[in-house]
Amino acid sequence: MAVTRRLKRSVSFRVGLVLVALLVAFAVLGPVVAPRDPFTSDFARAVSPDEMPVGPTRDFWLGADLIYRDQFARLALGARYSLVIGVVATLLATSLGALVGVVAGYYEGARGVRVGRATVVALAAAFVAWIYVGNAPAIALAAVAIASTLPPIAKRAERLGGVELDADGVLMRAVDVLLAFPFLLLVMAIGAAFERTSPATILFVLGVTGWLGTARVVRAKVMQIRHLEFVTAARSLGQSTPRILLRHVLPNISGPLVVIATVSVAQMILAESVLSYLGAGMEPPTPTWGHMLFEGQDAYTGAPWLLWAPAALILASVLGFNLLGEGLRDALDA
Amino acid sequence: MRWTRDAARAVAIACAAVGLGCAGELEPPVPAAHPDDPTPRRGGVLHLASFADMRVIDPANIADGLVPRVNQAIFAGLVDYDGSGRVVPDLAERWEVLDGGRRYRFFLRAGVRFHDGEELTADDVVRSMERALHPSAPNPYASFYESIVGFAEIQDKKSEALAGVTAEGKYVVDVRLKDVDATFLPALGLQVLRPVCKSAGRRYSDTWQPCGAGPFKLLPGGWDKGRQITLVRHDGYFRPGLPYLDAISWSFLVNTATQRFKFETGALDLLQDFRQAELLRFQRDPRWKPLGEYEAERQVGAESMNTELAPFDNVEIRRAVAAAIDRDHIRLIRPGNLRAAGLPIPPAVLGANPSLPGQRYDLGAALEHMKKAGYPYDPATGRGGYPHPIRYVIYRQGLSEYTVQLLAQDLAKIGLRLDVQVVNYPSYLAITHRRGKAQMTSAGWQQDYPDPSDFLDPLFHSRAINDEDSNNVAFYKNPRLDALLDRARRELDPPTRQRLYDEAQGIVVDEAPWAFTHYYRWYDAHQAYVRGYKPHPVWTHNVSFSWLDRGPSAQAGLAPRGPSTVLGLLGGRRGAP
Repeated sequence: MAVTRRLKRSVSFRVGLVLVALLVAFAVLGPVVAPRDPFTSDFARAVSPDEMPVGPTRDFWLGADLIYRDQFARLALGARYSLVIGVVATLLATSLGALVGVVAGYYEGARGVRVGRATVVALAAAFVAWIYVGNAPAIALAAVAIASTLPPIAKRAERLGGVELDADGVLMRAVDVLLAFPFLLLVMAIGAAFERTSPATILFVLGVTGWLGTARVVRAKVMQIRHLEFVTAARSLGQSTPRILLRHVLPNISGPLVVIATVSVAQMILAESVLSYLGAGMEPPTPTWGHMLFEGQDAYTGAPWLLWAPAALILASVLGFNLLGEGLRDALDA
Repeated sequence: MRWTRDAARAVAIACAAVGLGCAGELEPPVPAAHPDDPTPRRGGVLHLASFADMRVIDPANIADGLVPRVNQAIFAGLVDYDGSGRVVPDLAERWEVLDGGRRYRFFLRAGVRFHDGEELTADDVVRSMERALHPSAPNPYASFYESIVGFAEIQDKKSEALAGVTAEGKYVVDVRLKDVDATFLPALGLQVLRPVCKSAGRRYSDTWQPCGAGPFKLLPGGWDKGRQITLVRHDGYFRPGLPYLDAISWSFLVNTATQRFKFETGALDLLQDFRQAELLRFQRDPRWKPLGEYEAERQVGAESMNTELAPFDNVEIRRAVAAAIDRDHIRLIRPGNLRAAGLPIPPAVLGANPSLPGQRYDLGAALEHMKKAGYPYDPATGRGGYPHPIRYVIYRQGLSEYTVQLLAQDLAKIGLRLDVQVVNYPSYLAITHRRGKAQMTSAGWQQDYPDPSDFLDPLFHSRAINDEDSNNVAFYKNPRLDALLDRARRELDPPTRQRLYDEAQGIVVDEAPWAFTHYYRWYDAHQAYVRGYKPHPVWTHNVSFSWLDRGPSAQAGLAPRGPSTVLGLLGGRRGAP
């Protein structure tokens, strides 16, 4: 009950909750109450006498866009896309991050598999060959790498020394490498690899790039928890590792996970907007806030509502989820 | 109320930071010092800017859109275009057409000096032409001159010399053609074959310091790549007393909002890179309206239909599309720049005939064509139409991102559904120029030289079809049209030629490999003190012979300025550019 009381007292949480609730209401009800279709131009009513889109009027609540469609209807539909993408991408990323973090944290310090130096060198050479030379030499080198793990060869190769690969080391070094890329650059590179972009590809792009921070935090938490008495007890009672992870470890990191996920929704909404703004988002005529912002900046001096409306919505939603996350963190941490 | 001032400044900073520019009353134009005196005055530096950049200055490698503006000031050609697009003498005093149109003899002016002081002679003309057409030059326009004898040989490296171009004495150049070619002279007006100094050598090199015989020269260090270039007056220019300006300066990669503010304060003298809303404001402000003018329309936009792929292998479907597009609606996307189009050749191009019947919006006729095509569509019930979605390819963030959305709405009314695929520009080129890839795409063409052949031959002649890199993106093939275009190319009699091109346009309009949608026209605004400037039908911002009439208090960046500009709100130093 203490958590609920602290949440009620938190200004951040309350403001965040209101903003998010308004956003959800806008996304759910907006397209229903919008008087016009978001995809149809209205040249009879949306063109002002000086041949620009009309501003906010009784007919067009938030004005018309550059090809004379109802801006309100498009923003509301855009809100649905933004929210769904934000939430689903967060679910994907958080699940992946939690999985990697739990495994890495639980096995941290455990013995790994010893791999001969010859294997490592051959694998590295195969990778370089794959990038710079071609598939055939890469495959040949990979075959050498696999062959070098076979017991008779491995025994001889042992003289060259080797490295120990453990789950934690491998996973965390992978996270380090991926984190070394600028996030947006990585997202755009993966986005550009798709011939076309749909909500599914955006979800995939954000989902596979958004889990890295989560994995690190979860790993640190799991490393604390796994030494606690109830985990040791479960292990000594013979419970299987997956069961221990699911029943004892995961419930104890749910607090930080919820906080991370809430803040992550804001990041995902922002990332989706940036992708759309840069032209790597969903294809027209799908309305996205980021693309509407892009369109609005060109018309700013003549039709400022085209810029301010999507900008305000992006700002409000990112602020809302961030405040909500902050409130949750304060309440759950205390 | 210090906080209100701070808040206003914060808003201004925010606007400036995101490159937007905030709405406010336009500043008045900076007046001319002697508006009633038509006598040109010498001196002054004219300032221009662009959001784009350029990489190389060389007539033999015109790779960026900005280059012709700079080239036009540095290089003079044998011929040029006058204010209506006609070919007129320049370095050549006159020319003769011999052998029934197979040989051109150019008589050069004597005593013309290059920027390095050397005299320009017939040998320089021959050397420059060979240099520009040799395959070592990455010349995108070389094919315009394929009718010159020896072109194929030099391109195939079978010869190092261009056999058809010879110096007949110090001041006479002969150009022999394989066949009569009415496009030779209009194409010669371009900058591609213009004489370059001896320092350019016989072969193209991208380390050469540009040097020609034009009215302005580039001094060493005058080009700060990616930022700015300044050209200074060539005192040895062959036209006495010209140019008037001391120098012309272009700034590059300047965003449109910055350009507008600089223009308003007189730190820029001409402006073309407008945002749409700004353009409409300048056009509607009575103080600025007299100082602005449209350039000639030399760009056509269209929807290209691949005539080799279903459903556009059916001419009735193409006719239906051409009739279904409401071009007035497309114009409203950018009313300041677009004009509804129905013909392939923009009205301002020499040889265009705006009186021809073009494609036009007629929904009833479009539905009728769908019926004839075998795909009747009932708008009331939404039944019928073409059953499959049509793959439409565009590139990101261009005008076509908007036009396609209106197109999709229009085509839905006749039972055609678009499946829009947005790709990056290189992918767009790769997909649309390759055989059998895209059913439909946005297309357009901009005039290279003012002649109808420049629009019809590269776009609709079957010779322009190629499996991998087709200019004819509709893959349209019509022997009757091919024959007409070939005849017109060889026809030297202007009225007969006009008739042939009119007939050719009629075929293209009727068979609709492209549904023409709009002509794009640029708008130029200039400060009141910029005198003698008029938009040219071929050359953008051709300011070589303009002059400045600025009072001492109105030197660059010193124009009086009210508080409505961002710089004013920022509390910037008065007069800072």
